[in-house]
Order: sequence, then structure tokens, then C-alpha cells
Amino acid sequence: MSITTENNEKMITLMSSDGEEFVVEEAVAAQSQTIKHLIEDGCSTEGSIPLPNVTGRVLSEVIQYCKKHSSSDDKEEKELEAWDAEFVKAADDHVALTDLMMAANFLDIKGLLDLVAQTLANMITGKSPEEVRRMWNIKNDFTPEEAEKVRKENQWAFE
Amino acid sequence: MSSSRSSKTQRRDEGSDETAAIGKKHNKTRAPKNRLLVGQAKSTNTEQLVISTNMAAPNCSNLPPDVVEAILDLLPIKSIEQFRSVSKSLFSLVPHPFIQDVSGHYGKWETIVWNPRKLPLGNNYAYAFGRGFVHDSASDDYKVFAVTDLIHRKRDCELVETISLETGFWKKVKILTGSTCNILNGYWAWGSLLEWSTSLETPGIISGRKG
Repeated sequence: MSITTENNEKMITLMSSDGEEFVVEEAVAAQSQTIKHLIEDGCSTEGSIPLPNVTGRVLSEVIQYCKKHSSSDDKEEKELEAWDAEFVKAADDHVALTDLMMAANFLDIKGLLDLVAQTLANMITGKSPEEVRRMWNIKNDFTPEEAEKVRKENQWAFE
Repeated sequence: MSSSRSSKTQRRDEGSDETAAIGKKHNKTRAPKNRLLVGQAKSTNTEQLVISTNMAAPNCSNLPPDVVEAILDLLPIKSIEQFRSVSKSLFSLVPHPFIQDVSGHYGKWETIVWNPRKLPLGNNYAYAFGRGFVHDSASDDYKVFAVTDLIHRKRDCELVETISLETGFWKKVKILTGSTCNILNGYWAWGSLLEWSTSLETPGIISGRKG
């Protein structure tokens, strides 16, 4: 569905996995390399672009980021950094951040991926393996013998 | 998106002045453990990291390797090591923190690119007049060594500090005679091959052999 606004900006419709539609300017959507390529390949001419891996809740956050970053230029770098910091703070916890990161990865938005990765890295730093397991509910599948071997190899990291 | 790993690695290599390409003679009969680890990390690159499902679990039953890698790139070395201890899939996915990549073969030489920025520094590392990278065949381990004469101030009694890439510990190894030092002197340049004739844990009996 190609709609144009008054100032002749082409609009793109993005459809989330749960069927929510978002109409955004092409320049905003093209912050995502994945979407940019889809547009270039002509996939947007026949209706909306379906994004089966991204829920409406996450997509609205992603669009918020893309809008901000498509409208700012280099001169506003400081302001943009402050905005980014607030943006990840609003995402609240590591679960929401992980969702956001998976979306940034799928949509190939490098700036957002880096931003969320740094935030998650800061969260993980200093955490024990057990704490990391709890964060993402990862099963400890080492046998006691393997666990002992790994612990010995990595002993220095636990001191 | 599957190409992001290699391009990322390459970019980091280019950006690091200290990153060194190390030549190592290709040895078909005995694959060093660290190299195997890197190989395993690559083979899982396209697989999804399976995480157990639990009703109370966060909404992320599958973390793509790309996502894990993007986070790992930003973690300090201790956290990377701890991350590897979380589960088997992470252990095989997360490459050893000291070794970035096995870059392939140049003729008979296998080149390993590693990133010395991530090494914890030894006590005298900054004062070392010789530094290098070796494969210690006795323990089948890669080691970085730094040679200093800071303590004894004499050329015939130098101190070698080595860090094991398996344990991450620096160890002091004394070289007691001038002759062994001379042999060592010949081979400590970056990119050269040193084969320890005996375990580095045994002081005073170190010799070099060029492949």
C-alpha cells in the first residue's frame, strides 16, 4: 500500500506478528536494513510488509527508535545519546530488552542492536553463571564431571 | 545476517594495532584443544541456542547466536568466561576469549589471529622486552610469554612470564643460562613459531625450533 503524505513522503505499512498495523514514512522504516531491502525488491507495493517475528508491542518501540534516529542529524549527537539512554531505561528489564534485541537483530538495525547489546552486557557483567541461568531460564546441562572440568578451566574468572 | 560474524571479526582485527597474526605449523595428527573449541563455535553458528521452556521463563525461548555474539563483544573477559560456564550450548557457542579466529592456512602455516587487548596483564608485562605467542606441546595449550630482565638485571638470568590460554594464569618461569636465552632470543618475534621441548612449568629447559 503506497500512500504519500502532503509533503510527498512515501508511507509504508508494517504489520506485526499479532496483526497490528503501523503506517510509517519510508525513511523511518528504511532504518531497518531488512525492510529497506524488502522495499528495494518491490515487496511493499502490494499491501503491508508482514513482520512475523515482531509483536506489535515491540514493533512500536522499534518504530519509536527509528523515528527519532531518522529525524536527527549528527549535530544533535549529545541529545540523541541522552534520548537513547532514556529509551533503554524505559524498556525496563532484561526480558523486554531481549525482545527488543531479537527484533533489532531480525530487522537489522545496527544502532539499536548495539544500544541494547551494551545495556544487556552491563546487566550481565559481574553476574555468576547461576544468575545468568536465572535471567534467561537456561538449563544447566553440564554433567557434574563436565561442570568440574569447566570450573577448573575457568577458575581464574571466579576469583 | 549470517555474515555478520565474520565481518565483525574482521573489522575488529583491522582496528587493533596490537592484533597479531601468528604463524603456526600445521599439525594434522594433533589438534590443539583451543583450536577445536573455536571450530565448535563455528559449527553452531547457524543453529539456534536452545533454552529450556518454563512457565515463569522470560519470553525468549531461542536466542539467535548473532544476538549472543553482539552481547559477548561488549563483555569484559571474566564475564565471557563465566558466560561459557552457563550451559553446554553456550560453552560451544562462545569462543575462547583469548582467541578470536582461526584464519586459515598460508602454505604449510596455519595462522591464528588473537586479540591481546583482552589478556590480563602480567606483573612485568609492561616492562617486557620480548613478547610472543607459542603452542606448548607438552600441555597442548597456547601460551603468551613476556621476557623481562627487570628483576635480575642480567642477561644470563631472565624472567619469562607465561599466560596459559586455558587457565588464564600468568606463571613465572626462570631461564637460568645464557644459552637457552639465546635460543629463545632467536624466535620470540611476532609470527614466529616456538615449540617448547618440554613443559613451561619446568624452569630452565626451554628450547626453540622453527618449523
